[in-house]
Amino acid sequence: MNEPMAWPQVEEAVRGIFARRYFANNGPLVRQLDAGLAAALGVGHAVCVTNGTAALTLLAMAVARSGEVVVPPDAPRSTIDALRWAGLVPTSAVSASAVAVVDVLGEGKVAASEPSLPLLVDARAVSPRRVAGLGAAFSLESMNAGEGGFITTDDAALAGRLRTMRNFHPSETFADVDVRTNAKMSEMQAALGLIALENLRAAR
Amino acid sequence: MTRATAVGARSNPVEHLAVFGGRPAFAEPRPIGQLFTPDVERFLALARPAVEQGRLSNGALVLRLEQQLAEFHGVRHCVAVANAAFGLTMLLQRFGRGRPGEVILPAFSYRGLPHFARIAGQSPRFCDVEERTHGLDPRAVERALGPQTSAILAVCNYNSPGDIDGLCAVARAAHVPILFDSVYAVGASYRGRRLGAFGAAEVYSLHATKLLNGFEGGYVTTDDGNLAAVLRWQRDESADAPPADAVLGTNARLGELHAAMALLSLESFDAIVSGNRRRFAAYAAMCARLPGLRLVPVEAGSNCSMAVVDVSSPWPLTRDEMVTVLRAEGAAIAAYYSPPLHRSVHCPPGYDVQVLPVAERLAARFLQLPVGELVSLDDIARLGDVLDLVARRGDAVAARLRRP
Repeated sequence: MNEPMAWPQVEEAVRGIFARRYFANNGPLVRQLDAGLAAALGVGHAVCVTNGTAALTLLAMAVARSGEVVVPPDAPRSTIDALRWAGLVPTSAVSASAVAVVDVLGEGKVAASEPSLPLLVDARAVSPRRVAGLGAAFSLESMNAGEGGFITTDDAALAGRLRTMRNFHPSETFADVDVRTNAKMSEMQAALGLIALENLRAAR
Repeated sequence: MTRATAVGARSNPVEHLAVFGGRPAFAEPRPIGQLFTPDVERFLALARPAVEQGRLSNGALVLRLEQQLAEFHGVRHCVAVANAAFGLTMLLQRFGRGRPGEVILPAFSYRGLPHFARIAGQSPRFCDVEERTHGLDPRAVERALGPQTSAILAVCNYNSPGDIDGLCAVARAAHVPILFDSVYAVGASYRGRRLGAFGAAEVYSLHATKLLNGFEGGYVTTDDGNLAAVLRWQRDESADAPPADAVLGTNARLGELHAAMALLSLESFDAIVSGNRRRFAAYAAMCARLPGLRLVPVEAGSNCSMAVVDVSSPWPLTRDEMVTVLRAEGAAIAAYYSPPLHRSVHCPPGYDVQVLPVAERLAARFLQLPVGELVSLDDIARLGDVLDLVARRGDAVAARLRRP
């Protein structure tokens, strides 16, 4: 297991949250983590959500709500199920009704290549990095920061859809979307994410 | 200084309303959520071992929370989840059994509900509600039931649990599972029994604006051991074979620090509800002197987590004008469940929209007032001063608001 977080950093963050009494709903720490991850990874946008699997489902749902999605032949069940939640049908062969390709990083699993389709990346098992493709889903657990996840993309329109879809708040509505859900990250989760991000920067 | 003296100092008293340029009654917005904040030192003491052991998930705090919530609700099983949306969506996916179908739900309710049905692979079917409880009307449900129905998603509201017996009887006769979204009704009772074990399952929230603050989170209560096992499998993204056909797994785990927060909130349940009841009584006294503003009554045992007024004649302003006037004063108020879901952007494209008279009438009239820990009895008195002025000068306020 990785090193646990240093307690003083966590304590300071908790005191800040309690003083602000801002606990959830895309608060200041979530916005800071969205921006910090995007800057650290050199991507256009990072959209934080409650965990990495929710990130993958939301990413898929923001790209398509029906059709087949091409996955590696030995893709893990959690990848398959995350895509099914989005309304997609995972398959290992490229067909005419395919709407996207999903690669799974960390286990050497690559889907059949199809350059005409958008590439989504299940990057939950690897540490955050810049990857090729339209969008990628990461887990904060890979940074030892507990539950939490985020999506990276260089596509501003996709990021706007994701920021809309992760919650129901009228003031957090940036795009017309078909479905929304609650996949919000809390301020406590974001605080742990920010500490992990700081540690990652220091280690580099 | 009372508002009355301030009003007397100007030639045209209505100019003292913030909407017309006067100073707002509240410098900081007064919210419509609970925002209970436990003692930070106690939270730190609970959180520290989890952080220092690097156990931020799947730990002892979630287990303790599940056990205490099961006791609180008097149910066999409690499954903590990342938020209430996960709980509802997982249940609706389970009840869909891998086939497309319809989920019957109230048209006068939370905007997320139709989305949860759709993510679960189902279509929402909006039904009318009862005038008094604001919950699903069993007769409307009966008419909407058919072979396509996969589940009934009923809502227990803050004011009343609704006609649980009537709804369960309709569900039983049709052999359709019924679940309750009891997010706003935590702690309430129905026929002498605390909510928790009604229907196949009930879903609750641990979001900061709800009665029990776990930062963000939720939980499902049920007496059905098989259903609890399915929910745990769905939540934990297990590598084991699924416990039932066509169920989908995900990650819906609640973090340990969220559980720590929720444990401290649960401990303060009685104190939180007492505070809510004092505020509710103050609002009731205020509305009693304001003709046309009626505080929507609650049943005995309500947690009083909301205060909703029914705006009608002879009150001089419309509900929507009230939203404008009071928001300008710094009250972060909102129209309550408006527009109704079947006439909102949350209704799926292509839906065959029917007239649902009760839902439409309620949605046009109800206004949610500021509540929770950040609203003092003095704040309610100040709000009362604003409303007294509106009542006294109603024609002038209305005319000025409606001036083109």
